[in-house]
Amino acid sequence: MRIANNMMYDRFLADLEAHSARLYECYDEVSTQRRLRAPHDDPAGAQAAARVRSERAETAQYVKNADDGQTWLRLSEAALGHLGEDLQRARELVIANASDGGHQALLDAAAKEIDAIIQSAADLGNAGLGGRYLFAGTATLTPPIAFVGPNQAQYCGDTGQQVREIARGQTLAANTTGDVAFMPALDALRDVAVDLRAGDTGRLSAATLDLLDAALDGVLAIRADLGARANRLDTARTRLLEADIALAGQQGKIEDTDLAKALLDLNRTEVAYRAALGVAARVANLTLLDFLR
Amino acid sequence: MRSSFVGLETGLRALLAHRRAIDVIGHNIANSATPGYSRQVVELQTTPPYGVAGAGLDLDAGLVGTGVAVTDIVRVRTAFLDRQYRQAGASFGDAGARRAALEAVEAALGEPSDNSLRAALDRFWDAAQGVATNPETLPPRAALWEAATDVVNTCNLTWQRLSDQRLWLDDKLRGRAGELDALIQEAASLNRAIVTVKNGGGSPNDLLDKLDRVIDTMADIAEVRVVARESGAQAVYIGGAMVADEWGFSTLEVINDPQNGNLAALRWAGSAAPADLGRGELSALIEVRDHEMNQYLDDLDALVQALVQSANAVHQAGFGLDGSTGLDLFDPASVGGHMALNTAVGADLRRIAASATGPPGDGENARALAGLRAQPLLNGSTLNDYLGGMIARLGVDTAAAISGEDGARLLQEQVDTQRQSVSGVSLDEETTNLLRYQQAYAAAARYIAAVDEMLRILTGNIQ
Repeated sequence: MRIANNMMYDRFLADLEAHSARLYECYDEVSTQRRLRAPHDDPAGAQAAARVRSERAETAQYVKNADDGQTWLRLSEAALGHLGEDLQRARELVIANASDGGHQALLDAAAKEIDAIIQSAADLGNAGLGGRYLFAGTATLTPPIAFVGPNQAQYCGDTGQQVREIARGQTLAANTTGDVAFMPALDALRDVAVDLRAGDTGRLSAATLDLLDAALDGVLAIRADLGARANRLDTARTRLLEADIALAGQQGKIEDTDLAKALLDLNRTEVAYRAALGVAARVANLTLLDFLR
Repeated sequence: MRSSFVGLETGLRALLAHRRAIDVIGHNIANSATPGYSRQVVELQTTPPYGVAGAGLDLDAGLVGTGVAVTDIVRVRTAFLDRQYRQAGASFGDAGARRAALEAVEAALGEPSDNSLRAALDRFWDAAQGVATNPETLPPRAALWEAATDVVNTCNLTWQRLSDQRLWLDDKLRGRAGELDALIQEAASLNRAIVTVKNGGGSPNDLLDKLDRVIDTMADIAEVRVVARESGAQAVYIGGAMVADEWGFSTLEVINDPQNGNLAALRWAGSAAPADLGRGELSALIEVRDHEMNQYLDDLDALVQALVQSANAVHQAGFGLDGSTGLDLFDPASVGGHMALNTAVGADLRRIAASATGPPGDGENARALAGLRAQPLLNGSTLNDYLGGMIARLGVDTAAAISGEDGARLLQEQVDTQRQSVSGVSLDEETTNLLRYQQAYAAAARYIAAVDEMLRILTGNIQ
């Protein structure tokens, strides 16, 4: 093939430009540590990366939800623990005063203590978290336990659930409502006080004691349920964090540079560039004119 | 009987011819770096021999030559290679226009990053969950409002950038159309000059080079075909219509098309039909501007409307902290590029309808709003998947345009190398030929001296 001068020079220019462009790309990849800098670098990868990023955001939010649920459950469980202690104390008083022939004065003194226990139980029922009442269902801005008469409590909340979403489509109720958790105990305590003041040890040691025991059992059952839910949240949280680690790995694989490979590419391109420059300089200098006088 | 002065004439012809050859070599060397220059070669031929057979003529020993003359200065160029180069140019212009436009769309959509529309949507869904977990207080609501504002702003900004891209393409289109028009006029005037020179018996080599360069430049912009004529003119056809020859040219008009938002439309002067420009940068610009860009704008608009309608439906069904219900979260008149929030809700964030049944601790409606993230709201896909599909499609199209451009450029370079091989100046070749003609010139001069000496002997001038 006949070679014209411009052919060589145009070829040099084109090749040097190609090497420069490749060098620039290598540099960009190494300095940004990203191999996926625009969708056209890897269209399917870009779509997958978008999905992974969204999933990570969603997972992080579920973790936050789980944490919030845990707080609610733990505080509820603690309040119910104290309620259980109050009920035990009341039971001791009942047993102590249930035998016939007790002085009314002693019974009245016991009744006063029951009054205090009732107040304590009501306060526990009105426990709050950041301005919201734990046991009010969804009517969280008003105290769920209110007194309509001496020792006569009433539940003012609703039966709504505090729903926490811990995975797509998976929810968990983080609360228990005062009507099932506190009202049986408060009603039983009210009856105890009435019986003590009336001196009705017969009823006290039979029907009322049964009510009190039933309330205690109820509280224990609810605490067990809350504990089970807390365990479920724990498991969910761990699962979510593991999933995020896996997703992060996936994102890295799609988006990030393989540094070793990128540096090798950079080296190789640089060597090729130098070689091209050297050869171009040598070949360009050969001309017949140098040899003619 | 032979004339005594024949030798002088032969020598003179040699001097003139070789001098002309050296001039042409000089022209080649001077233009060895000129882009688009085709080397020129003298055609040397023997002049008609002395002594034609006929009655009454004394035939000596055969016919005697009478010297050399330059019969033509030939421009070395292959039309076939030019045709190939221009075809590659059409592909290059087409792919180049697409690549530039699509890369700008990629920049507008901004993936993969944390600042894209998809990321803003994710933050919106998360903020809704935040309200679902804590519906009674204002800070999560403020965060939701902030996230919603971010979504609205990002949608509008993205739409605006795509729309601006259309205008930029239109500007480029107008510019290139103007350039094409200028090139067409230049082709016509060069054709006129070429025909004039040819008619005068000359070889308009440099003019032809210039015309070829003009046509090469045109070939990137529109699909060009050249028909060589007897008269020497190179008639230029674009898309089947003749646009420039030695008699005149067609003008490419740019008009504002009212049916296309007053964007540019191209017509040949005197015709009402849109100009058929074949494959090339102009038609690619028109197609991307009117087809691809509109596609992306429509897709974005569909996404905005789907989001607004479904979010509003959920929001209307819920209750705010102040008991209000039936309110929209987004302005229902939102369309792509003009998306907005409902200012009535923004004025009092308690109106954000987080509750499904009314009580303040109920965040189920906010959770339903967050749940839209997983709902197939648009063409059976979730909004996030829809965006992901757009990004993938865009990536594929852009990658294709980039590789198309690279391929076309490589092809052009290859064809150009072949053209250079045929038409390019090789300094070594010219230098060698220069030696050759120099020697011949020197020898011819020596020959004239010899003949001169002989004549002097004859005429007794030598003492």
